[in-house]
Amino acid sequence: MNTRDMILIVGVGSAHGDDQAGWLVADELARRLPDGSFFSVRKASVPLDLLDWLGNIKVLHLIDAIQASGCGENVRRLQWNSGAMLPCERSSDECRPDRAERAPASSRDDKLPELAGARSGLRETMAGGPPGRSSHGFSVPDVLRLAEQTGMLPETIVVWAIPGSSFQPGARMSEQCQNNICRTATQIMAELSVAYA
Amino acid sequence: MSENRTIRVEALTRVEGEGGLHVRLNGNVVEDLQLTIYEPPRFFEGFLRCRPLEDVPDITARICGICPVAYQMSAVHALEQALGVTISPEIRRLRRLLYCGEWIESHGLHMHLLQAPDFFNAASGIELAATFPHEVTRGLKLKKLGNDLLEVLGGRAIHPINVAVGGFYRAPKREELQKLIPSFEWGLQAAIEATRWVAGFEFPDFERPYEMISVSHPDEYPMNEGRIVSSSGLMIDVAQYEQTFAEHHVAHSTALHSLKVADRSSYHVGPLARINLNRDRLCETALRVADEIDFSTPCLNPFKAIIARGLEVIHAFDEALSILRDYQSFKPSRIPYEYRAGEGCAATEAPRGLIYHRYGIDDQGKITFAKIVPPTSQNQRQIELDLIDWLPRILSPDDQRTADECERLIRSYDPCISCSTHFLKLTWEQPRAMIEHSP
Repeated sequence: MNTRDMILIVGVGSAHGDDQAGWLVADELARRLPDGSFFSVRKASVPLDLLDWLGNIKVLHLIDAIQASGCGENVRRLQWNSGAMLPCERSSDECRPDRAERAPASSRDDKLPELAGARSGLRETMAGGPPGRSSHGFSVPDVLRLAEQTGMLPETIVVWAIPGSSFQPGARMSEQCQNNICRTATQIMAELSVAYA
Repeated sequence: MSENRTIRVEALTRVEGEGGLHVRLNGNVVEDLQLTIYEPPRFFEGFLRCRPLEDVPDITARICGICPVAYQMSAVHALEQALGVTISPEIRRLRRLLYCGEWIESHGLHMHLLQAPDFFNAASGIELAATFPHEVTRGLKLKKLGNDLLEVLGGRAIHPINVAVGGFYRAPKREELQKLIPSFEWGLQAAIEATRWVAGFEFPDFERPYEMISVSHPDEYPMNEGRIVSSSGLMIDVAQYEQTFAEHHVAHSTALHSLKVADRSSYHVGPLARINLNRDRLCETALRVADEIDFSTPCLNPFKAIIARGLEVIHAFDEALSILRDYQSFKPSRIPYEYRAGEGCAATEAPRGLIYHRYGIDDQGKITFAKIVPPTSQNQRQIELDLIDWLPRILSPDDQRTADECERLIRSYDPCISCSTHFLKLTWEQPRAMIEHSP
């Protein structure tokens, strides 16, 4: 097995407004991660792209913007567990995958914000609610569920949700979202270095 | 006493684009039916103007994330005609290889995740995967192989960047393509199994008197080149396309309807049309499978387009393997050209059907005008007419069930309404007195 492929980091997004967040964090991580490491960084235009990249992946870090009102400016760390996205907002140390997997089941009922999806205007409910919409109807949760059904799901999936407010085509990235790009990359780097040092 | 009946489906998936369907019924009679496409126009033809012609393949690829190659191929062939460029046989084969990749990924996705669920009352590909994990996984792998080919040859799977006017910016090395052979050998067998699987589905007994239209080439299954033919005997050069077919604006759609000029009648493009008009140019393996599953042509049942897609995936793998095995790196990867004023047009076969492009250029290599007619524009009116025929057969007191059956027919076309949003909304009106049972 090619160990380089074992940890996959994917920024989901588009070129529009705060929906760029996933791509920009992926770009930042690609710059920071050392050559020859066993991390692979990719950018997805639509969540369905993910399915092509999951072979031999043990850990998936997914970065996407969220359209969320009233959830503050903080980046949210979420854990995919048995068909649901569970909140797991902890310090970098506490967010080690081995610990994060023990997110409480009661968290599933938490009201969570919406992922912005790969293009502006796409909204994906992460906990409950109707299925999200994306290319041909496949949202990030849909794609993860499909991967689960077909046995392609990595052992650990961490979603980094970056709050945004501007998703119109051609819009500039908001200052709030811009501030979170390097911060998110640093958090992910810290988590990777703790877990895989 | 009459009462309006309204059905609204808020979040349909498995259709590319944003549109809706509005139906007004009087008893079992459809009084009005509109496939309403309400996305804002995207103005690609407008903003191509004054751009360097070299930008066209990359810009038009952005029209669609599922079939960017179709836009690139149609664009470069039209521009090369305008420039008087003749591409080499090596470039021509490499372009067919690229198109094979697109057919594989697009058809693989539609067969397994978009249309197949309709045959098992599954709400989605995810639900289908619970019952058919092996088949859905196989479909995903087939799609991935198509994307792998696009990535190697096009530079990336979505919106490839290696296609240039005159050829390719870079011809791949032999070993880059050779690496794909083992997985494509698996893919050919998997495509055969997938086609056998879908051929075993239970299909509605529904046929329509289609006029089928496709590109046709005497020596090969149509992709990049040929004349335009129809099931009624039409055979024209691509240059005559606009004298034969014309787009019309309708109030309920921001996408134009393309109809035949002679009688403003609709027509059908797509995999069924291609196979009906070019069956004998399928590869031997696809022909053998077609015979084995008793797929007779002409096939006029739109739901059986899923079988046609399967046969085309077999063909695409077979042809791709042939090209991959024989491939040698070559130079030049791009034929040079001088700017000259002129215009050119081309028709190629997108996964969803015939696509037509025409461009004008000036002596500085700038685009003076552009015209792009995608397959779904050509199928729109045909879908509406199909639904008018289909509705009385499936009309149910259960609104949702009727709506589902309408969507099922629409999905069989794999419409690419647009690539910017993904949402079909369906509303329904019928005098309450005409309904036999309450929903």
